Amino acid sequence: MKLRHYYTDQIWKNNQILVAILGICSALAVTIKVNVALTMSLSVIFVTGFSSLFVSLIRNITPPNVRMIAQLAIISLFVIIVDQVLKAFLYEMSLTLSVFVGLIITNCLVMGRAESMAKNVSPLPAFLDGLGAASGYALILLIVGVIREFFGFGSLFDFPIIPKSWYATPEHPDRYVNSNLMALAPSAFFIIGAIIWLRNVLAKEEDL
Amino acid sequence: MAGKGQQFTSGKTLLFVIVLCFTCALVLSVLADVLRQPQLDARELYKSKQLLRAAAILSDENVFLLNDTFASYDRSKGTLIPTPSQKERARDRDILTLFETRILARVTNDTGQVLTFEQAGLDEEAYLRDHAKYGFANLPYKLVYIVQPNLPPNQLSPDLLPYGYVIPINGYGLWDAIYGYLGLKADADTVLGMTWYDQKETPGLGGNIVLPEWQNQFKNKVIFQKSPSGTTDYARAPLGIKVVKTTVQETYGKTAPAASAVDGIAGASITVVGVNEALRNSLGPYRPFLIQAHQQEASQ
Repeated sequence: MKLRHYYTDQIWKNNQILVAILGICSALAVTIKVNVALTMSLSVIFVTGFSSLFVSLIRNITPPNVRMIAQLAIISLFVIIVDQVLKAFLYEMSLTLSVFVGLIITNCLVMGRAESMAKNVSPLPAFLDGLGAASGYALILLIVGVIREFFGFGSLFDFPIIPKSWYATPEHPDRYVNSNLMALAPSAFFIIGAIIWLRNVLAKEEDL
Repeated sequence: MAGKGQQFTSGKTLLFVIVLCFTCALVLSVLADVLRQPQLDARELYKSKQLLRAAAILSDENVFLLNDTFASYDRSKGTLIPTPSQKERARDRDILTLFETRILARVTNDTGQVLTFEQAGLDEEAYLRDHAKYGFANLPYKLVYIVQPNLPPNQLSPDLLPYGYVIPINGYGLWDAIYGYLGLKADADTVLGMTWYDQKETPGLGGNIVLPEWQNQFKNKVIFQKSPSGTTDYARAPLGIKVVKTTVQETYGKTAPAASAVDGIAGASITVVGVNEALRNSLGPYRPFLIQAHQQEASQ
């Protein structure tokens, strides 16, 4: 396997959300607006990349019977770093993300990469693999975030896209209305389901 | 995986775990120490913003407000000037400057008299720190913020009729304590705004109390409940804003209590009860102060 495949494979072909269905719970919760999804994505990229790197660095001195605990300690370390930095420099964003930053610790995606890849390979591929897995996660989060914010709020990055004059008013009740469903978590389920279906259709065509 | 054929004795394993934990702990404690001040500053700024929001000086999108129209800060004069067509986000530095010039922290006693911290013989910093957790309403000296009018700093004086007041509110939600600010107009009755700056309610349910769409309902409500005939008995009227189940329209229609009620939040019954109690319990002890402030406004 070429080095770059450690990164590129995970973006679409082996996307952790679409193929392994990992990391779903945060994908539902933090995709209501694009800037929230983006902050979460960057946090997960940082955590997964560096925890994979460090799990790989100490792989030869890690006793097998405490390896999970060691992985968890490393993951928690990076998650707390992210959490503290957000609280210092992006305070209002940290309030919006609330518990979900802390919950990166239990995101199966991060530990999945540490256990199934990072502990078996040398640091550089492990690092790329971690970054790749999280980038694939980020891609899906951003797609879902864009769809939900556009249809749910008529804006992107909190910047209004749909002009105010298109909206329904008491005088013109038949005009455009934002979809309330998109502001609720179940909509992320439907969108992720649709993307999974799309990936499967495309993957089948490739096989033929 | 680790060392094919390599043996890990219990001693080695224990050493590994200790070294790993110690390293992680060391990194985190250094980080926590470095970030302590920026975190405290960020929290203070956030609280100041929420207080200005309650006082209707800052919109929920961080744009300055002057009598409900957008405004921008004139640095040379130190006042807000109306710019209704411009929606310019306020800078953090201007927010803090405006907070320092226009918001005065004062205390009020059981007779409703307003005193500075020196007059009350209190150390402001220690007072705010010691009572932040359980609130100020039941202390002999209660905290109240006076919002000064939009005038250049050299023309401001404590004798002027204030633009409004902000009263700290605290109580208990479903999971933890909730803390907020209630802004009142100079008549000490009509609400300028209500914000919650610290809460740990369920995101998406009780946590919706921080949503501007919900908080905006408090605007122009009255905290002294009107009698059925529409008059207000300041000495005896129940104090607070009631968050009803379903909607105000459905619960009270156009009757008098509707002026002191806002719509409920679906799926957040316990948080809503907490909000009701917080408002009632935090406002009650301020009644003498509110009556005096109301009379001061009526006499001018």
